[in-house]
Amino acid sequence: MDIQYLIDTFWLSLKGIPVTLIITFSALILGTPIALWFAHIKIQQIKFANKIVNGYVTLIRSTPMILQILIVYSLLPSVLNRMFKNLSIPFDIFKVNPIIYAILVFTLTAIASLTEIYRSAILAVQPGQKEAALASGFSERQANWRIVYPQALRIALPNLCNLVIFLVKGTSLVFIMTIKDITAIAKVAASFGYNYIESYLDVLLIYLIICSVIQFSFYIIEVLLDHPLHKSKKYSQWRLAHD
Amino acid sequence: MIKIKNIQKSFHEQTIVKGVDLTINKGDVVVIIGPSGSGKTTFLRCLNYLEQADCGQIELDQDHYNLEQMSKTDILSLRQKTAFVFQNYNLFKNKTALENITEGLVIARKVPKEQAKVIALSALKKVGLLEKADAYPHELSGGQQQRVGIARAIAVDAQVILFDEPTSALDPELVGEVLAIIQDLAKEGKTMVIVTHEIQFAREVASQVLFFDQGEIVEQGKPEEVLLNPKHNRTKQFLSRIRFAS
Amino acid sequence: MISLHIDKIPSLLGQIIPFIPVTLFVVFISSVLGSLLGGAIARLLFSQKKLSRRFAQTYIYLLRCTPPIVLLFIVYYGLPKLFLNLFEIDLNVLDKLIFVVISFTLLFAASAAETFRSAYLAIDAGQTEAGLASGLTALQTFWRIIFPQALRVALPNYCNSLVNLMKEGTLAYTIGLVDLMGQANLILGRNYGNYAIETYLSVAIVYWLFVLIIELSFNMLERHLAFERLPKKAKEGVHGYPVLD
Repeated sequence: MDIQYLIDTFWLSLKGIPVTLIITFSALILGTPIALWFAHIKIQQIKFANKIVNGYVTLIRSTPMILQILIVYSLLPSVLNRMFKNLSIPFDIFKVNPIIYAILVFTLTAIASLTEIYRSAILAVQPGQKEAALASGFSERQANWRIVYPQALRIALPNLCNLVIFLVKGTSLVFIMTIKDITAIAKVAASFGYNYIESYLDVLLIYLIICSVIQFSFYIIEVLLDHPLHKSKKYSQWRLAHD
Repeated sequence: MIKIKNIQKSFHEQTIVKGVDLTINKGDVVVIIGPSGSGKTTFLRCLNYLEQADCGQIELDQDHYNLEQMSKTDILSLRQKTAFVFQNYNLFKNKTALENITEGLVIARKVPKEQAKVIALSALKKVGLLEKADAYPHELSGGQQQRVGIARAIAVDAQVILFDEPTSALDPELVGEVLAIIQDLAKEGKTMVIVTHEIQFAREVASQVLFFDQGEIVEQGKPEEVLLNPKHNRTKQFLSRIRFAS
Repeated sequence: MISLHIDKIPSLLGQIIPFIPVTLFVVFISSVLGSLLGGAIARLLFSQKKLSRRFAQTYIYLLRCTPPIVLLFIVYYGLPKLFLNLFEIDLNVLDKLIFVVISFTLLFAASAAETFRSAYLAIDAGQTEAGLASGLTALQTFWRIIFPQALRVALPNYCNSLVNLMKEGTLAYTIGLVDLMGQANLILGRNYGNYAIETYLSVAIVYWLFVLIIELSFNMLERHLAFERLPKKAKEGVHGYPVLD
């Protein structure tokens, strides 16, 4: 085992982390508004739209990630190319950074998963909370954004953590679209001296680090969101002691 | 005759049961009352090793058990000589009423299947649920489930039946049917130890009443003595708090 | 707008269908072995020994964070090298299938262990206590009382894990296994990269079918096993039983 190579390639492969994070978080950020909309459609069971949303979620969930990537990558550039030619737009589609396609694919997956996550989290909030808000004079919108969603977010956190890890693992496949992510860099480095196993061990280590950071971050967020409850307990104890 | 000596149980530096002795004669009905957290349930659960006592000894006729050094065979043997009725019935959800009862006979005590079935059906008849033999627990009411639980305990013909607050989880109108059965068992001379909140019932059925508080027996004696003429202050306080009228 | 040659799809399907058995074999063997391994790991999670628990937790954590393709590469390149150094056995002669199955077994075991763990915890502790109090041994209590109940709880999650395994299996072609995806890739090569979308769509159609079949099967299984279905006998009453008086 070539230890020096192991160390060098590690630092080299780290350069792929920003790509991974950009794809993952872009997918989540872009996907959330649409997923919230879909979640509401499912909750309120709006007749025709409900079927479409369900169909979409099922479709994405039954298609392996790599197939999604391959289909989008072989479909989209040529489609857009035709479109631009027909509309006489002088834009060379093939100069576009393939990361856009990756973000698109992962956003599609994120929307499907987030729809389910948001739906179940919103439904898990006690109905009495919203009722109390409406009874206090809040509009539907205010009730949602000020009362329901914050509580739903707390409920959704574990599932969101799982989704983030899932997306991060999924980005290991984007090298197929010639994107320079962690795996791609390591693969290229390996091909010079055939140090495959060292390369992939490095890749594994990097993913473990990312995964741990993500899990830890979510843990901190959960503690922070629960904190106000503890704070009030301590304060009232202090007051009791000093009265 | 059952001799229980020096049962102690601590949990995280808190002593829950502080060295309890008890002698039970055949046919005795010992009823244990006391406030929540007094350790009465823990004490009861030590008797069939559902709680691991820190020390103590149990003598069941010829068998002597040292609770500090129980081997797997000792534990099994102790559990096969006792029977337990739980507060939330704990019927096996994946078995019918009949199967709930035969389980302990066929699997644990190696009774032949046909014989076990006959015994089980008699037990069900005794608690008045013969027609529900093939019903699953989720089809039965709370009172019915508890009665099956009692049938399960009767069927194995144990030396003592232990009841852990048998009616606490029941709706008030179902309490009566369960208490009636326990009363029948008492009349038949079954040895029982019952932890309960039903003081009136204790008076009707007990041969001995124990008042438990903070891990030890504060007062002990015949029901009329303990319940109507308590000697200790703590007993008086407890009884007055639950507004027991003599 | 796009020239999608839908007419090609039936012939493409015809070309990839003979390779379905390879894909199914991988999924089947990996899930069976993975369930066994997962069961053992789940058992360790509840061990009295802290070391065993930590080991099981670490295993699950490691495999949960590992991208399937990375694991595949590590097993494919790493295992032969390891065996060469340690035992001087050349594993490169083994069929790629073996490496694929090893990788996916390891992965499936992690999610199976999680599924088994949560199913076990979902069963009321009172069931175990009642079993022990009736004089059953811990083993008897587990297999006769807890396991049947936990099985029903585990089914939906197990189905989910199985579908995920099926989808992750598509990566096997990257180390050269000729399963559905592998064959699709070869076809693509033969056509000089033409009809890429049609080829991939054909594969997707087969996978949609598989997922549908798995989900329907598990739905049927769940309904078949549900306790609520069984009460018919009770309504007819108890007949002809001899009773001791």
